[in-house]
Amino acid sequence: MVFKYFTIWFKVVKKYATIKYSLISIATLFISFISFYLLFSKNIINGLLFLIILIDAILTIRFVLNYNKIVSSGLYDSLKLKPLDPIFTLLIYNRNPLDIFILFPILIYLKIINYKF
Amino acid sequence: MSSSFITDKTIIVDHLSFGDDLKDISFTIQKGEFAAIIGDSDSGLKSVLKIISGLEKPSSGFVSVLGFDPYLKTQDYLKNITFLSRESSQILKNSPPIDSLEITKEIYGLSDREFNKNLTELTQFIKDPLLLDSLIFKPKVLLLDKINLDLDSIYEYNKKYESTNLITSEKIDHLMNLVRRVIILDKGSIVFDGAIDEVITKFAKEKVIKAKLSSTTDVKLFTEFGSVKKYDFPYLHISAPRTTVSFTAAEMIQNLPINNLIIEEISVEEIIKNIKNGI
Repeated sequence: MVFKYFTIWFKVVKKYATIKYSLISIATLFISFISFYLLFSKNIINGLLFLIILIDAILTIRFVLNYNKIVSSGLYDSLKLKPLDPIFTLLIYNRNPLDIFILFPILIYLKIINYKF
Repeated sequence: MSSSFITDKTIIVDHLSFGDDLKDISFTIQKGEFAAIIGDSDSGLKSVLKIISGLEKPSSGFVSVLGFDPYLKTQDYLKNITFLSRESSQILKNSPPIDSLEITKEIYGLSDREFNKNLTELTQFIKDPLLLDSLIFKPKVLLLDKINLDLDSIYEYNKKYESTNLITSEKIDHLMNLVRRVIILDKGSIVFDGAIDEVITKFAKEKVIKAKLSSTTDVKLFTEFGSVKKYDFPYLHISAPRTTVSFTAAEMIQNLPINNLIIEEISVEEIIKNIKNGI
């Protein structure tokens, strides 16, 4: 299932992962990282970890809120009847390359613990 | 049940119960049949389609679709059905149609050749992007939950590919030229299962003329045209026999200050009432 998801995601999202989009994403991350490093720590590893945790937390909160909205709207029923895991289907339809990269480890974790929203 | 047990009965529902929503209902839908389940909002319409699609597990009874237990949601089953509801369209509202089709192509594992062939065939009679997206993988079973999509295209698909279609609705109007068979649910039980023509000739002998008046008129005048169902100026609902309804409507236009007028079938609630009263 995960392999199928990766294959589909790559085919669908690759055209959105343009050089321009990727450069903007990398530049934003770099500037954020430098800011956090200067603000909170002289330790580069701590600064990096802090930044990743913060981004993950924000994206996860956004995802959970969005997920709950979708479940309550009844749209999730349609996703459950597609031959792919509904969470992965939802992410594929989302089509945001950066979202997928950062959220994927969280999703794997949620799938492993079989988390129900 | 394995797929080798597939007969011409594509959907089998046997003594199905689901909480208080459905009480021991049984019916079968043949391959290629386009049937409708109608009822009012608390008749259990939503539950019956959710169970047949596999979204809910029945409390008791047996359900089979294409020889599969829908609740198991096996890949082979999911690749052969489509479930269309009002909410389905939300997922596509921010996507260009071709992107959505591309996603669907990948999710359903269609080859480029298969995808292009299906697209060419289907775009000959389907223009709605949501419908195209739901049918591009040529499902054998279409489950339609109170949708108001291009039903003519769905009818074409049914005829061309012998799909088995089941639609739920709270109105009978738009089903008249679409389905031959109708199952009527009332409070979770089947009160009628047969030809839609039989429902019309036996239990919907009257039609409702809904008019919007431009000025107030003496209520006594209305009774000359039929039985007054509702009058709340400017809205007037009059029921008249099906055979003479066009004539009655013409008379009303000539003799009453009417701005707008439409003719509709009587409500499902009234049909159920007539069935129970044996009218």
